Amino acid sequence: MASRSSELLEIDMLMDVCGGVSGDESGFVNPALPDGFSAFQRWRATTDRGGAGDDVSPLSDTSSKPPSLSSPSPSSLSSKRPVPADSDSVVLFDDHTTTGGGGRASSIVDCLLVELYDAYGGGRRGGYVDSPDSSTEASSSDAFLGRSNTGSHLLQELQERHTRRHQMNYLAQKAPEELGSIIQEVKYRTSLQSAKLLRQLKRRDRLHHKLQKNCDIITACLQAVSPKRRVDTRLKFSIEPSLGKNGFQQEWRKRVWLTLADRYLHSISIDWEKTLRFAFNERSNPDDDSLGIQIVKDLHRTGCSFYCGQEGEQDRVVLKRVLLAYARWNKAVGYCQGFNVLAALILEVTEGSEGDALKVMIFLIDKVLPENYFANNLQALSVDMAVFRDLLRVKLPRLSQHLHHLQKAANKEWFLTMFATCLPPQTVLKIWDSVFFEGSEVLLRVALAIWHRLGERIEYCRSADDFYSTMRCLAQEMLEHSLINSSNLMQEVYSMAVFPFPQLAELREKYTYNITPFPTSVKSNGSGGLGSWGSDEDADMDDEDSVVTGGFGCLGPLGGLLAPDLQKYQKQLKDQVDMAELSPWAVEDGVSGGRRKENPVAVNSMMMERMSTDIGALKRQYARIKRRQQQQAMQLCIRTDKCPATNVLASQLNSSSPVVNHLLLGRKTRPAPRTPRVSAPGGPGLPGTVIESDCSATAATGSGAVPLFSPFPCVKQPRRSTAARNLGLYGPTSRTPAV
Amino acid sequence: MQCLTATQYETHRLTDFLFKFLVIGSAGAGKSCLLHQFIENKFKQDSNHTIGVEFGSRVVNVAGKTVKLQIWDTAGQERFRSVTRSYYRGAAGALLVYDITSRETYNALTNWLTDARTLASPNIIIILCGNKKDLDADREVTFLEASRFAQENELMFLETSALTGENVEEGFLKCELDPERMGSGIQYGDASLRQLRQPRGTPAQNKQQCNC
Repeated sequence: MASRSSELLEIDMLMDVCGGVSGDESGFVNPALPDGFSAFQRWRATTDRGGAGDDVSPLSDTSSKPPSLSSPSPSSLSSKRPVPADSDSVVLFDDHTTTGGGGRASSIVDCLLVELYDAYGGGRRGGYVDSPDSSTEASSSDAFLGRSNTGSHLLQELQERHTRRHQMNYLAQKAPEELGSIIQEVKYRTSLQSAKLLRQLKRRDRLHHKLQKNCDIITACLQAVSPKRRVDTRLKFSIEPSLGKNGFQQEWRKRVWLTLADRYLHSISIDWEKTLRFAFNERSNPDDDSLGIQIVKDLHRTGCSFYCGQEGEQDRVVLKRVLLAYARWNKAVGYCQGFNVLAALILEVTEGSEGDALKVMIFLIDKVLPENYFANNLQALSVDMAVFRDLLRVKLPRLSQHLHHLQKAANKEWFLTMFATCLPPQTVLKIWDSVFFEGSEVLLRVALAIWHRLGERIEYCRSADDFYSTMRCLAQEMLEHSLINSSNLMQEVYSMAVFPFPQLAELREKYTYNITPFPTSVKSNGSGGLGSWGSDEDADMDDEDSVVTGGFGCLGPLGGLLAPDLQKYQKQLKDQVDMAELSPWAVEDGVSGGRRKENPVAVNSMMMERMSTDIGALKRQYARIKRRQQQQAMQLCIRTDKCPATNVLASQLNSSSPVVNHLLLGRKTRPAPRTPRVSAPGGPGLPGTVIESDCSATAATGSGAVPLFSPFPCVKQPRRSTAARNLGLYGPTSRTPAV
Repeated sequence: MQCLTATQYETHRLTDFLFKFLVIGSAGAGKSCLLHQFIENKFKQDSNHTIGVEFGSRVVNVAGKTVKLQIWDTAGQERFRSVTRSYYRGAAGALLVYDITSRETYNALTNWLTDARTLASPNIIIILCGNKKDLDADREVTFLEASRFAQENELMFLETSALTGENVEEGFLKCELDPERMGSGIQYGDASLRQLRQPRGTPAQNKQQCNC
């Protein structure tokens, strides 16, 4: 499109030049004048067949152009002189009474044309190619002066009448034959100018090509003398500034990202030099091995070809150092698959500087994205997924319904790599700019905008199978064929809602809260060592299930008896959310701003109240859970008798036995500081405290049951307890059936 | 697009069974490459590591019946297991992959097995797959050791190579060849056949209990 408009601009310019050269009132009319031009074309074809053979093909190549060129000319022409063109008659002659009658003149004109063009063409072929300023174009205007047929003579006389009225008078005096010859002359000149225009365009293309070629040569030379690092392979010489093409220029992007990162590091008062020394330490640290193995495994599969093969060696080393440095910096997060993709992109922006890349990475992961986005079993990511489903339901209800029907889990990959693996790099960089400025909610917005675009095609999918095949197609298209226009996308991202996204904070809180009602007990389970991921896998199971149920309300094998309650509970929760969401979304004016905040808070406090007051219900609930656990333990005992005793089972028993009874036993070690995060307003109503006081009495029975548990229930047990906890804690008594 | 969907729908109608299949195992064991080899018959040279879950499907013919395999390829890194877990539900079979050149991936098998046994249907058919057979020189896990492990845990076992394609087909098709043991992953198909394929020794009631 850009080149197209510049082409048109060029034509405008040429028009002006030509008009200027051949006199203001030369009768230079619309080049698209159909019959005149096609006549010229016919003529060209016949004459060229003989002599100027090498000119035929380029001209016929471009012969399709003139119709498309016609658009700019009327404006440029009419602004210069009052000659709006009509196809058959020149409207300049307002009162002209003649029609046709130019048969006599045409033969003369044709002869002259042949003569003129041959001489002209021959001269041009001589020194044309390398002399852009050849005099051919300038001299062509002289060709009109030298013409001596009646038409040109009359036209010249006409041109000497400077005002329109004089010209009209002049024409009114003329006989029809004379007018005919004038028309003929005008047409002739038009076609000549058109041909000239075509030549100019071709010449421009040729020069452009030549320029390109020269640039390529310089690029090749530069690359030849470069040290041949990865950044050098993308080195390209150009005389055009690249500003404005890629969001903002690479240099500025780098500077802005670094400034933001610096500001963050400053705010947490870090001695950056020291950190750098530690993070990029050449000697290996004790825990480097565990960190490093996975990093090394993933280096070559980062997704960009730069990191593959022999020549990627250097880049892989840099990437590895950055990833390892981050893992050393933040041991809790360490390395998560997908970091390599992020780091690779960051390295590209920081132009290979390891320290800068680390800075940006720290800023991005520690500050910009929610805490635990990549750590702690991707907890915050799961929260965002749940939040996203809610947002999708509000923004794109039909699609959401459809996706729900397909049982499609939200696309984690988009979020984990921040779209780096699913959109073209330029778009991704724009998104990242926006993320750095506006925060992680941009990711949700972008995902919404993408679904909005894909929605139509997804709606054709009838099955999950279908959906995945379609998605794979779409993903390919998004990545390679720019299915998604980046500026439109960003426009939608910014226009879909005000910043910060209404309700987002509340939703995130709600799901964080919902997913881990007892983050403290989770921690106590994993107290063996935060670094080993296996330790809190069981706690995580809770998370997973509540995410799934929270999102879909489909419980599957979650539990025969509890399922209906849970579903009811989920539904009710959803309704609450809907209410909370819809009201502010419906009214977007300033007055509703207060209400927006108020609503969920009210809901929250209501729930809190319910929790703290329903101690009786909790007790009943707890007794029920306990009974079930015992039942289950019995069943499983029976089952394990059938199972062969193997080393797997033994190891399992060992690893997961502390988890079995985490509802009953694990609370002793629970550290206090995590609790405030879970609870919102009501201090005394903390769910943790309620349960704790409640269950301490029964802890003994619980611990007694432990040895009975086989590995299978070990992992299952917490699930049920989650469900029960949810029910017991949040559900009103009326909906919890008595056991 | 619509046309494609129509044909896809057609394929659905024509297949007798739909199997949900899972590929699990530690990071870098070659899960995605196995899947790619199975579906495309090619080795994926510069494959990206899986983030979250990827999907592939293939229709195979088993004993005169067309079976559509719906294969979910999961991410291997430990912290992605929470993501992986939601995919176990309803899986008929799982390919448990380890790398014969890495004892670490072998050692992690028990964890994966626990997940599969607890989260999937109890009748799930698990095939233990020692991948990278072509790198025999770097072998860290012997065939004998792994097959003993498989025996102890009632798994089918074979060693594969996603690079050469050796045993890949067999790995994926092994559970279909044992119709007696077909799990509950069948989503639709011939009702009478499905009854026949009720797993032995597992009454329906029992199944329900295990699931809860």
